[in-house]
Amino acid sequence: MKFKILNLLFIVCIVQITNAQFTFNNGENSMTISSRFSMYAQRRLILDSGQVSRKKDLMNINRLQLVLKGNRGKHIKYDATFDIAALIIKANDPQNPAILDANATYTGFKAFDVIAGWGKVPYSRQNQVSFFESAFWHRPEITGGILFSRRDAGVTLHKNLFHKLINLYGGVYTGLGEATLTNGNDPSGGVEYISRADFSYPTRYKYTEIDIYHSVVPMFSLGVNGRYAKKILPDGTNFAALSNGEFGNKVINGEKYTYGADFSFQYQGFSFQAEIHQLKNVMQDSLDANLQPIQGRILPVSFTNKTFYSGGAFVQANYHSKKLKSAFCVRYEQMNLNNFVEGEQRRLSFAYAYMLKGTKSMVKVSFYTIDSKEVIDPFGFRQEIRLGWQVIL
Amino acid sequence: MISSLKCVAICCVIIFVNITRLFAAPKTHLKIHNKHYINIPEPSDVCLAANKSSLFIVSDQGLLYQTDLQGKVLKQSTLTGDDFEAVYADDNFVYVVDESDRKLYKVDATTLTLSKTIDIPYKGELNEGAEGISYNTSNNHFYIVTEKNPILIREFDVNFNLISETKFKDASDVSSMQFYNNQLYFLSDEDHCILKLDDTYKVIQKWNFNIPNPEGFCFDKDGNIIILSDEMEAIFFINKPE
Repeated sequence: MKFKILNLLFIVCIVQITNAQFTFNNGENSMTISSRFSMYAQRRLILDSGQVSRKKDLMNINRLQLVLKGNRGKHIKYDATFDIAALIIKANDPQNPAILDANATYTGFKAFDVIAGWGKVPYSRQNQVSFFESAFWHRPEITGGILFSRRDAGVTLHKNLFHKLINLYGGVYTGLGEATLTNGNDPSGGVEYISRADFSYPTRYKYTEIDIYHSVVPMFSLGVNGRYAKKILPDGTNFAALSNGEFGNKVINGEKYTYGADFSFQYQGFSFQAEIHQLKNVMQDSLDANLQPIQGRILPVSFTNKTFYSGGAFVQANYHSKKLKSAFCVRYEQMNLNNFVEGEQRRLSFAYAYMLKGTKSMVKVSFYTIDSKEVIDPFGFRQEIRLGWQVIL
Repeated sequence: MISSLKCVAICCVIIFVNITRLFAAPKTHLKIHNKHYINIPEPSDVCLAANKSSLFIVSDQGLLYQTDLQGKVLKQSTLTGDDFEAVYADDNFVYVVDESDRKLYKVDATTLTLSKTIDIPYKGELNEGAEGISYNTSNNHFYIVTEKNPILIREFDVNFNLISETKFKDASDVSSMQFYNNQLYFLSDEDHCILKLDDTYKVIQKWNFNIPNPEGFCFDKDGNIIILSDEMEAIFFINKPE
């Protein structure tokens, strides 16, 4: 295993040294190999009282990715992206799993395209935005993979209409999200269904945050999406390790309904995004920890109705200056992990990116301050700043 | 002393900025006088046919069409590819460049059937390869331009043997090119402009416009401009620029 990792690292280093994306072509088929790298320094500026450890003040490699993309004939495309840093660290971070994409797309049907394999699920516009296209070093908490998965294994059908102004997605997935990669399926045998529809005007609106090319006409996009998963665990069984997430509510023993909507606008370097999500979790067990979050107190079924809610939203505004080669961004977000738990998380973030070579080489600094916290997610600090550099080859 | 130096520095900056403005290429904004959607998926380039009464349009989906001057499809070629990005037509042939496959297809202009396939090797990124092709009648050379990183003006003889490559740095990208009246013109998608260049590839004139994702352009027989928008799948008509 160590030998294989070293080989991969060697390949990535060679790619970076030669400073080129490699393209191979044998007539009918083609393949491109490229790499992406980012690292940052992080400091927590204000710790909560009683917190003394500075172990989270660090410098680290954030991402070290090898990207393989190719075509086989006219109708088959494939995409494989591996993160070597995540592979070594094995943090199972939903924002940065070791395998980001491993899928193939078939475009030979007139009715729709088929995407099969592992990759981003068609839920949430912000989820589709590449980390390397953002000026921030962190995603909004609501779309960061805490309450719902960002990636899964499954099959997606995609159809576009009216000169791609309307995009429709629908698919079926394991429902375990990022945990599927390392921990396999779950004893319930249930799956998750996800669908999305978005409408853009006057042209197709790509999944970006910053209007780098300064749209010459005002553009907007509106999206709605939904997810449904029913996973009833047989008695005596549990979900795979880490699949229920940091707060035990990402995958639940019961039925989970997730709804969301998003809006995006851009014109002449200014862009704006807003998203909102609501989750309804119907639990199988009235004594599940998600329905009984308060120690020493039992909430009756007549009160909980075996259902708890979570959700959140964010708004973000960005401005790109071609003259200054810079992007300025501000984001305000809110998230509630569980309506039976006191408090909600609110956070205000700022980001600045200096584009040495567009998004291919960016120095990014982002700062956030936590306005309020939820009791079950105390954070331990109030403000954090990150400064780093990303390179795409 | 320091405040004097600051004043001198500020004055130098002001003078420098104004001098560069004096020598900068004059800008003009082009106005669209007509547009409509076309029934071609992801149109990526357009050229005027030799008879000047029809157009050839290629598609990102590897398709070649002949249309009337309004973009209405008259005929579709049996030739298919991966990602057609550039097209040029002379009296006998239509030359189509596939960006992904790094190939040039020489197609009979009457029957739209494939006559010859030529390899045009290029080691740049898969999606930043050839974007424009045109022919200079003054030296009988073909020219192919790459999109960006870098923008390369590649000069070929009539058999597509590479003669020279020149880097072009005065645009963010190039999405199409044309020789018109022995003058070279570039279309830039990211800069939303058409550039007129001299023999040394220096920009001598620049016109801006408000068309999203412009991927192909050509001049009609009267010198009016036709621009294709890939994402809108639409054709725009602009009066002859001054």
